[in-house]
Amino acid sequence: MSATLRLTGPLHDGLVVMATSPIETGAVLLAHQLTLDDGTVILFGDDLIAVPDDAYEIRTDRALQITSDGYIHALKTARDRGMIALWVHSHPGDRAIPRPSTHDRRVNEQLEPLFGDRTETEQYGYLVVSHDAGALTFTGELSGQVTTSITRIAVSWQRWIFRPAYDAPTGADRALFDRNIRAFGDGIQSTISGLTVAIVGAGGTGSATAEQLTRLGVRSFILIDPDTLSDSNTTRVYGSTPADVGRPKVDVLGDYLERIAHGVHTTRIQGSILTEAVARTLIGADVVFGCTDDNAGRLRLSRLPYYYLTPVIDCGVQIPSDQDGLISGVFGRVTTLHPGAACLACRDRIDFALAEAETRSAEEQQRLEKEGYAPALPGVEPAVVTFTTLVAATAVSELLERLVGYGDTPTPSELILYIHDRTLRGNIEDPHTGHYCDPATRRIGTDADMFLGLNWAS
Amino acid sequence: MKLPEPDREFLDRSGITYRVFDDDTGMLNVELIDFPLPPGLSASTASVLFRLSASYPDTPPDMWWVIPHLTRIGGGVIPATEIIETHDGRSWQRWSRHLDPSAWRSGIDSLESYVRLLRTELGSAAA
Ligand SMILES: [Zn+2]
Ligand SMILES: [Zn+2]
Repeated sequence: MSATLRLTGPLHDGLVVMATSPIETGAVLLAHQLTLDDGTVILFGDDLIAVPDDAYEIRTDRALQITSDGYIHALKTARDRGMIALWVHSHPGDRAIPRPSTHDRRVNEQLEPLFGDRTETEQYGYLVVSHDAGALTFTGELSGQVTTSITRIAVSWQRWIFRPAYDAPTGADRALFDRNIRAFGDGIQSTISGLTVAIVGAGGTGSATAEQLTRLGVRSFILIDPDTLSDSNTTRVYGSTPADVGRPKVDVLGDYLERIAHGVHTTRIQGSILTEAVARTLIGADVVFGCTDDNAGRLRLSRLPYYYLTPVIDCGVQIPSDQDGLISGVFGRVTTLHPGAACLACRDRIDFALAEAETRSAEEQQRLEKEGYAPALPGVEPAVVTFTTLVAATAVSELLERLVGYGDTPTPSELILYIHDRTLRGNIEDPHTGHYCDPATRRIGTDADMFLGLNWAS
Repeated sequence: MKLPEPDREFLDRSGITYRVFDDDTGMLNVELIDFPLPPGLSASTASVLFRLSASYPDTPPDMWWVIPHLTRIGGGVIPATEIIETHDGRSWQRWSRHLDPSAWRSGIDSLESYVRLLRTELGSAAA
């Protein structure tokens, strides 16, 4: 069992400020705690409440003593928000060791019952933070109801950071990934190898995305697609052959990925993310690629980053044609959704009338269509392997850019490919005030009642 | 299926009695009971039915249904109310009112906004 702490950029920045301070600094981190079906624990950081200056009794570069006024108020806030509280303190100095000292262990023993009691969660956690040339290093543990170490911090903002705990074993296969490592370095390669990536849609774009990710080093996949492979799919789906026609697409892709490299593990779900149980599996992913064409699915994916701090890269290809059936353009879109950037709804990337039509019963849809109250669902759309592959490669490059940060800032959160025009343009869109993507609406941990704030038909 | 909390809060706060029930079409039905009507219509209160899809509140409710079937006291037809539909085993007068897609702020608007539209439409039907 292990725990990952997911943070937004501002919360991560707050920890870095603590870690790089020349004197020991304390704070209480409030977090929403969730245990997944496989036992993995995810903490969603909500707030970092600093110890007020007057609560420090001793505060030097190697020691810290505070009165209970330093954290009592924060515990009350945690209780009011239904969150757990973690005691955070820093070990100052570049490359200092963020491991609890004997004294720290005694403090943890004292704080554990108090924190559990005051937050009414019977849960305690601690985090010791330091830094290595400005990059956060840490160790941490949860104890109480759930006891496990915090093995990873995941940050989703402009940049995506996946940092293993100080003592965690890391390191990718240096020989295998020699060429990647020459490009991105060791750290990024181990980050990639440690990711769990969900791919929604195992068709042309999804399979091209998954193949590239596997060759880059991703070893853990969640593959979701309701369909079986058709004859015409083999013109685009990587890894598919005529012998695969009729098999579930997730199996065709899963088998293929597992053949590409040793140690690849695929969780295959033949189903739709319009089903709650299927959509919930996305919570466990570090990054989600949206590679479907449906609007109803996008409606749901669009909410994920803001409720669960999981970044989503949503992509699509459009080949509109004129009245004579001739191609009038080839467009690709890669939109990167993360806390701090606008969702698909605010960007106007979802056709809501079609989303409704896609979820209606066939009978009701027919009736409304006949009365002129509903748009007709589009038939089979054109699709071409070169275009789906181009968009997939652009999407995977976006992931690399977010991890490595080789691009310009501010980072565009959407790329539009005018393929017919041989042009690529980026744009940036901020969250709309009051919308679920607006950080001020604080959605994390608020959907115990209705998953992602929505009703689910099944 | 259930009504999102902001909607429950709004209905309670506004003193609107309501009932929520599922049907076999995957829609969530919300029935406003004894909803007061403006003067000028053939009844002073009515049951008003909203049917919410699984995409609500990203997408707005579409149309509403009323019992009893309403007419204008002063005569004249209320537009787009001539269709009768059966829901929950009862026969409802359908009010085909469709929002301009841009009129619904997806993810922000709620039943509070939709009840405002309902009131406006009932008012202009009565006038
Ligand atoms: Zn310490
Ligand atoms: Zn938004």
